[in-house]
Amino acid sequence: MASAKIIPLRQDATTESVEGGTSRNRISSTVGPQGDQPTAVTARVFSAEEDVSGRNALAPTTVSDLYPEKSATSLEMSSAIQLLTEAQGLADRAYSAVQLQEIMAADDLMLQIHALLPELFACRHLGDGFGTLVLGLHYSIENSDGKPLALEQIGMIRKCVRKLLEQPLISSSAALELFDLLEGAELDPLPHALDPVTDIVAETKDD
Amino acid sequence: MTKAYIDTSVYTDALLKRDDRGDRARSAISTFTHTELPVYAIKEFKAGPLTYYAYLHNKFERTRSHSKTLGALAALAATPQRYRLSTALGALADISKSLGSKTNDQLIAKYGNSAKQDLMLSDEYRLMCRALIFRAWRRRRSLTSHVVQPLSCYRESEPIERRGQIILEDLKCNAVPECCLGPFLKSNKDELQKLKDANDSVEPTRERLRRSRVLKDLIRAPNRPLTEAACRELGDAVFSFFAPKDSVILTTNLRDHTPLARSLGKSTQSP
Repeated sequence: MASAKIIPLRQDATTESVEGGTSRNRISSTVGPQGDQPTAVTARVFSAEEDVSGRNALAPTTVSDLYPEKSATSLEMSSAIQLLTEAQGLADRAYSAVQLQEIMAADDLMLQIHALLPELFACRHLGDGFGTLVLGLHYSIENSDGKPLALEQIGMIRKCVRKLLEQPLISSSAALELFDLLEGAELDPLPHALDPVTDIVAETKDD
Repeated sequence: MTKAYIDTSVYTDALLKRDDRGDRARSAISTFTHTELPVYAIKEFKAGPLTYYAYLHNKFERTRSHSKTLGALAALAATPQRYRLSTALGALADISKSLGSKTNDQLIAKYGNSAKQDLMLSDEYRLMCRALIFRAWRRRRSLTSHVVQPLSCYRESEPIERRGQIILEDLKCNAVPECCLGPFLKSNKDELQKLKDANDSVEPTRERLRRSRVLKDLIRAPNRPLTEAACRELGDAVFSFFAPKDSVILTTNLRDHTPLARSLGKSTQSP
């Protein structure tokens, strides 16, 4: 007889069962030799809101659902999630501070976000979209020449941080769309150093 | 005037430049209520400035080293203009604002090569070149209120990435049997003659001599097909020819454009 396959389900989700009350999902199913017909199932009945994993389908998916620490595929991913979670907290506090006219506190929190960016950029192997948006955040703050950022600008940086946290594997085109939003808030997400170099390349090629 | 006809120089500055030139170009375009961009400018932009950014991107991608790329550029640009070259390379060598310059031993210990400064800087500039290229291409038709004079022999294909390199294809038209602008140009010999006279009245340069030869061919041998190369060599004359009478040609290159535009009763303006 072929060996049966045991599929363990998540043990950390807490959901509501039809019998009422709260129960932990400690469920396993034994799959038959063909892998399609369960021969024995130890399970409870799922409610209409739950998917097959027992997760409540109406509850929003969180980053830790998608990238649980234990199964993180790389150092870069786990570091990025940790740093972005920290950055999001800082951005939330900066946004609240500037709303309360606490400009210095908000500026200090933004400096702390800025200081996280080099390490985030070290995680750029997650993808060009990730690296591009981290750079966009860096230059948005760097090109403000030390001036405290306004509410809308902090709000936009907060939005980008949240996007990266929700979607670390963001595509390059989606990252560039966020550049438009940063520019809309009068931030400058691109460096200026390339202009003179391309001028020289142009002259060389034209010769 | 409230109508502007945008040439490739202003178009390039507005789309790609991050310094004062970019600000001036974008600001100048925004002062007009009606702005027209000929597809000819998109073609020139892609075949010229965009290829320089792609070259730089590909160089960073290939060397994976900021210092090696600087060395390669210095060797490439062995021009007599040493001062300008050193200024340009100095801008790239000045890493004080860069993110890559903020790396440290702790990050290197944790992330290895990825956190080393030379590679961080190289990836930083590579990604920024890439961002500029794709962002400019995405915005190419939204900078002005109108995009005019489509070129049926030109394929406006997107930049693509292949094996990490950015490839710009279709830089030339498929001008068979001839460039689609040929019949329009040949239909107005008087204006072609005025353009040639104006072109020949100023100090000859290699570009002006080539333009003069093409104008002469169009006037004297209208049955001869206008080739892709000939169309390209017309350059600034195309803008003067096709700009609407009630528009101003917006260009940073007044020296070349103004005599041509004036010969047809049209005006030019620098941002």
